[in-house]
Amino acid sequence: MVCMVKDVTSGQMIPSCSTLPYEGMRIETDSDEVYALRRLSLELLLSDHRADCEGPCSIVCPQGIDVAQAILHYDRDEIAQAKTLLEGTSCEGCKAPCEKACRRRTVDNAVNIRSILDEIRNFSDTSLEEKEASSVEHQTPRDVQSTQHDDNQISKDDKSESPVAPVSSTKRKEQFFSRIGSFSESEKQHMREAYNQPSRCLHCSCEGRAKCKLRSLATEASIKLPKYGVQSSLPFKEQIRVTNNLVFEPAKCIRCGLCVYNTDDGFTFERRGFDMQVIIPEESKKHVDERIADICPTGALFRKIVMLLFVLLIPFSSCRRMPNSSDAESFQEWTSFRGNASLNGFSKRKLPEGPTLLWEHRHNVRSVTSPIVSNGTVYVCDKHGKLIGFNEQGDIVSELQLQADVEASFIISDSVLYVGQIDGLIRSISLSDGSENWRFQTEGQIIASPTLDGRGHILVGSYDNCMYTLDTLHGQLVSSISTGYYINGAAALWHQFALFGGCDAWLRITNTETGEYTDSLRLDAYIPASPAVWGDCAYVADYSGDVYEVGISDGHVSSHRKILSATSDEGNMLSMPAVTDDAVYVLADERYLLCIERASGRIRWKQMLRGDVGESSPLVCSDRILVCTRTGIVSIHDAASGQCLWEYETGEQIISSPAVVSSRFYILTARGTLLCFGRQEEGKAKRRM
Amino acid sequence: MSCENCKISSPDEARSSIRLRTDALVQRIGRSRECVIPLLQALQAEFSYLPSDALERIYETTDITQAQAISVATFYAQFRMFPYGRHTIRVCCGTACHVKGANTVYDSFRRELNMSDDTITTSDGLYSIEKIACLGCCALAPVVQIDNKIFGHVQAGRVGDVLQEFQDYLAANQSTSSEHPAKEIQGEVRLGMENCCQASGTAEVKIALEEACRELGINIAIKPVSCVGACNQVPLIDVAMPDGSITRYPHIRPDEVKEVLLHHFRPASPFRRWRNALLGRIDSFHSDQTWDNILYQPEEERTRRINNFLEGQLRISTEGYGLMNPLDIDEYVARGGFEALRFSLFPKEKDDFQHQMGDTEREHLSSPSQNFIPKSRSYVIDKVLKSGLRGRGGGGFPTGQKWKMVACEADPLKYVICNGDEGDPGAFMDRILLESYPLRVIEGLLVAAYAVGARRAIFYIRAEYPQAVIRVRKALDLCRQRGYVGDNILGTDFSADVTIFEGAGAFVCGEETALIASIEGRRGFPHLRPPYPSQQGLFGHPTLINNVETLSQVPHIITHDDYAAIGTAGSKGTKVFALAGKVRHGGLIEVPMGTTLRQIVENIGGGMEKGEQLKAVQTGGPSGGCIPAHLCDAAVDFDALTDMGAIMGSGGLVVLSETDCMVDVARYFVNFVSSESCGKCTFCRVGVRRMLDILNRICSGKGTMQDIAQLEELAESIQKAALCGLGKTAPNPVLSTLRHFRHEYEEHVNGICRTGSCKQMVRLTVTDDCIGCTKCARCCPADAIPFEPYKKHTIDTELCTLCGLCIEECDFNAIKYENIRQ
Repeated sequence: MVCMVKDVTSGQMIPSCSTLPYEGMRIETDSDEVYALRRLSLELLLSDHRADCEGPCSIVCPQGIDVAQAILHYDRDEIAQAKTLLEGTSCEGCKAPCEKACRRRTVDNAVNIRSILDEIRNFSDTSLEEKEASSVEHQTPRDVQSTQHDDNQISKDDKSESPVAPVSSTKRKEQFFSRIGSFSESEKQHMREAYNQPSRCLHCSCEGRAKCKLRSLATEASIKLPKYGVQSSLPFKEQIRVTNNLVFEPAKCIRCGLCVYNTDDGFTFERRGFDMQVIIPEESKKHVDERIADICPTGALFRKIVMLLFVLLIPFSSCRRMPNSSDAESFQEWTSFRGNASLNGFSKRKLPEGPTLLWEHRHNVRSVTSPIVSNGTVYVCDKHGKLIGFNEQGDIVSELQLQADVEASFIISDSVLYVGQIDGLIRSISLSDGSENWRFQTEGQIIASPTLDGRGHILVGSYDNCMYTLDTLHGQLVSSISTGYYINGAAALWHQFALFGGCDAWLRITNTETGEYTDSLRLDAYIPASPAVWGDCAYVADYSGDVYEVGISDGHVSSHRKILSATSDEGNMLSMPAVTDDAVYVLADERYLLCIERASGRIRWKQMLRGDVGESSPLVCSDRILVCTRTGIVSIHDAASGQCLWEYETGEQIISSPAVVSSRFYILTARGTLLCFGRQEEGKAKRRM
Repeated sequence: MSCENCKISSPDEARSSIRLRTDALVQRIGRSRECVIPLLQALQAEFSYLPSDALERIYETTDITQAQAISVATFYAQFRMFPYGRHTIRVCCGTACHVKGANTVYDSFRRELNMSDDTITTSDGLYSIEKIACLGCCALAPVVQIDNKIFGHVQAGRVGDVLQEFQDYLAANQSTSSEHPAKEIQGEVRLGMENCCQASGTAEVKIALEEACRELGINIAIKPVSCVGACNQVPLIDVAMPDGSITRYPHIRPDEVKEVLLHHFRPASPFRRWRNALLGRIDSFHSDQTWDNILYQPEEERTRRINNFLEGQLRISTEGYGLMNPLDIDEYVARGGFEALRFSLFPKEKDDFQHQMGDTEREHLSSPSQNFIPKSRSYVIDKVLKSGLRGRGGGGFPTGQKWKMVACEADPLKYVICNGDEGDPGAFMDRILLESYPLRVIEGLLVAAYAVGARRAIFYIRAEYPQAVIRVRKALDLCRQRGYVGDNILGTDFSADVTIFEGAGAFVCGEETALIASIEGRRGFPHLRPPYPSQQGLFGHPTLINNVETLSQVPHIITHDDYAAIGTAGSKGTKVFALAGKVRHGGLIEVPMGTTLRQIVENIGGGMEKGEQLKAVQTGGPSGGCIPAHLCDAAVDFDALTDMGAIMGSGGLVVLSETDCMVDVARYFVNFVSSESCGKCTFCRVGVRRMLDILNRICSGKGTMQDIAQLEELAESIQKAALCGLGKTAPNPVLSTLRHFRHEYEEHVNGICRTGSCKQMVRLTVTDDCIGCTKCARCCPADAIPFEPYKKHTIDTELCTLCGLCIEECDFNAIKYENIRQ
């Protein structure tokens, strides 16, 4: 009942969700009285919500490591991903406040977090490991510095009574963190028995926190501590497997009943009053639609997609090269046009060997946005704003009419679509029911993809020359930065900094937290695409065809150099570079794919493509490069030699970038044909069927 | 799991037997989803619980799914998933019983039966024990029900006697009693046979009467009559002679019956007369006991109290008390019964009525707003409107207006529901009305059905009132035989089909929309109005829901014109109250609106029990509030009570004395609402629970001043924001006690509970008045007082359970509660 409003005529406070409107009704939505009740309602819900938003270990980590997530990967044997999270960090010299905060400590002994993290870091792979080691060395001075700085902070923390108190970094100041109180004896017993995997970690972090409305509302209402304590009748972390992927955690349930009312005889209420619970009878588990998790406003119902991929991931856990992208990736998802917020076009996913066309769908309406994969559904959007979702078999599973022209790639996060439109609107639409969460009007057309910064902000540039930072929940303006000309490209993220270029030829760096501009660099020509970030280097191309390497340190340009100069007047670059830890791949000179060594800046190889290059940017997947030309040829190249391994002629122009999910990739042509490529065996199996 | 009733050993055979029996029940009750509650009730009646095999069979053979069955079966308190012992002890925890120590009684039973902490059934499977919201016998508090037998005034130290009495009762019932042959009737003995009268020994008196008649050869009619309401004076018999004279004997004992009969009636045969005289003479030589007999008490002394009690009352709903047989339809008709129905149905009389009306009134009736209410009906509605009758269920909504709203609806199918889900602890008016005056309630229901144009009427009676269900069912059968219920009532085209729906134990179902949900076979979740039940009610059709008492006032209103003259400006007519608590003479009373609380307590109730001081009167149950003694001179009507922070509610009046802790009373009600909350809205589900947490803290001496402020803030918010009436009124007991007794809260925060009600804050100590008589040591159930004659006793606080038995036992008033933090 966080939707309380006041009926002015009767003076009654009513929940707006279940009140019938009547002629002449007068409603008061923002008064102190209304807010006080909504706040109370939240406080009451939180007092019966026994869960951690984030593991205490992550909260207290002075380096800001998502410790809980790293250990989760570790327990799932996804060492590669765990390693990604720990890139550039070190526990040396740290007094391990994480272990002091560890919930397991109140059960028996704290998880040996430090040794687990070290184990992840030292996970030895194949020979290619050495290269990485050098890059780690390269970063060492900064690490030492930060560790020293952190020491002070830890000693401060040691004095404070509550180990769970959020650290005073600006990053976390505003987020709400739920509390759970202490464990009962029976809970401790349960935990000792149930959590006996090697790490013994309780995995306190909520896997549904990103979609959790309770948390976002609490953050909005700036609730710090639950006023009425946390006293729940339900045990912490008790999980019920509903289907293979769907998990229900009763202690997080707020009994809103959405899952009950939206499944016919699926979920049901048991008992009444404070003891009322949502349960699912064994019989009903068979016909529960997993999408019900999207309706749940908390992390009580969530889909455990990563668990399903367990088997597929094993080959990757011995992955040779670790990208130092800070984004934790799920291989089933491709939520933005470059796959991650750093826009570096690198993915550790593998392209299928000798891919075959599994299916195609012809739409015949011009489409320039890139396909996006979310929750097993591939979404494409045509120029007229029709969003179509396909399942893995190529059947249309959803359609949504945006009723506006769309040229910018969109992003999908937790079943919420964020899309910028030609009419200047940026909208957030819930994919579960098609309802609009919010909209924000800019003064010019939007042709660049928005970027989510993972801290509750969305960045989008517009033709009104401004880069906007909005709150992802309500679309409220957090900050805007005015530039000299149109903004064509998306913002790339590096830690809390965003980099973007514009038609005024300036590359700008802003701090997404403060909304302040930190530095800028003028290039020779205007910047039509977006920068790609790898570590503390950004690579950006200007319209003349020059490619720059820009070193960034603490939000400032520390160095810059041109690593490729335009060779002809025709060599304009509309696409983005793809970056790996040792090389940059660019499409240049009308029809070439180039590999430039990052360290030396020399061209390692140059491969001629069939057809002219265009807006579609190359994508590096492990040791392969996926390239689409404007002429409509899709090819896969070996990253080391540039040799073409596979080619496919679509016969249609391609403007958008490809999307890659586990062993599949999707190409969308400008005529709206969506092509799905996958493993040969899969294709054969399908044909046999 | 083995089943109590079947003697089959093999599990497979047991299962197939359960399945067969289940099939038979399904056959009888139905397969649709709305049958789920009656079906589960039938299952429980058959197997004493809900066996999983039977439920499986239900899922297989009916439209009811597992999800629905779980959701419903776990919502209502009546259903249980595991077998109980052979006998069930139900300890009433109503308000009156609570203030008189029901919790101690409960603990004593558990101790007596050696039950460990988490079990509810004894190890030999003989007894199961549970707390029950309210048995509606508040005047006999504390009350315990074992199976169908009710025991009143149970003392914590005497639970063993109660169990023994129950065993004796079981043994006695095995011998069958034969009916005495009907001969010439010499007179009549009238006695109340309601649930509560039976509990206080009237049943034994009746058996004694029958035996005495057989033995003495006296031919009299023993007539069970409707409740007098003087629950404090039972067992009560009235001896009516053919000449019309009545002699009243309150508090009669079974052994006194014989002599009373001999006094009034002559045995039929001369031989018996001679034999009786001889035996009587011998008896009187043996003992002087007979001189104790109630017969020899002076008339004045004997009946003064009961006359005081009856004086000042005005009977409308309870007209015919102590006189009429509840199930004698001829007697009811002879006393003017069904006149109101006749009056409503026959146009000729109506013409007369319309003729009597002034012009303005006629215009009013033909106003466009009620164009399609036939005139034949609108006059009935108008009569109710003009009477000023307001709903007696608690809200006080004008009944006439409600009728009009339903009558205006165009839907050809309408329902009328009589709301008999009287769940308030401390209230038993509806039960008495249904048990004693079922025909009057049926008549009111029929008039309502006729007025609004409904063809279907439903009695919704709560599960804890089996006697009421039986009586109403019998009364309905009688009415059907006489053509008052069914098709073409009294030869007109008006037909009404009346059925009974038994509630399954949920307080929230007294709320209209939740009641409808439960009849439809769902959880009793209320929903926000509009749509009102009068627009979209049961199964989506317009539905009129009236309280039992409201309907019982209707026949009088239709046949008389004086109704509006009774009562106050805003509240007309009479109100039935259940008077209980620390008052000397509790019982069921009916007084005109506007009577003051002090009049009720002092005059009718005969003042306070044990000479204690009146502290407050709690009205309206968990939705109401506590009215402090200094406000008790205010006239009782809907508006005055609301102004004082209480509500009329359904009419429970629990009198509280100086020995009652107001914080504990508030906690008791909040605890009640917390366990009865449906759980739909956050404010009620979590908010009330948090109020309870705070109150528990305060009552255990751990509260702070901040807690009081937080409690008040929370209570005010819940009042504003909860979804239904239950939630909105749940904070009333807290707010009214905070308003009038704030100092008690503050004392608790400072560690003082003056009454000793808050057990965690007090311990028992022995004062210097102790002479070492060892009485306390002998009675202590926990052996906390060492047996040390002639020495001042000591109490081991570790062992002491604070049951308070020693306080009652001590003749020197030497044991007292003492605050731990002082």
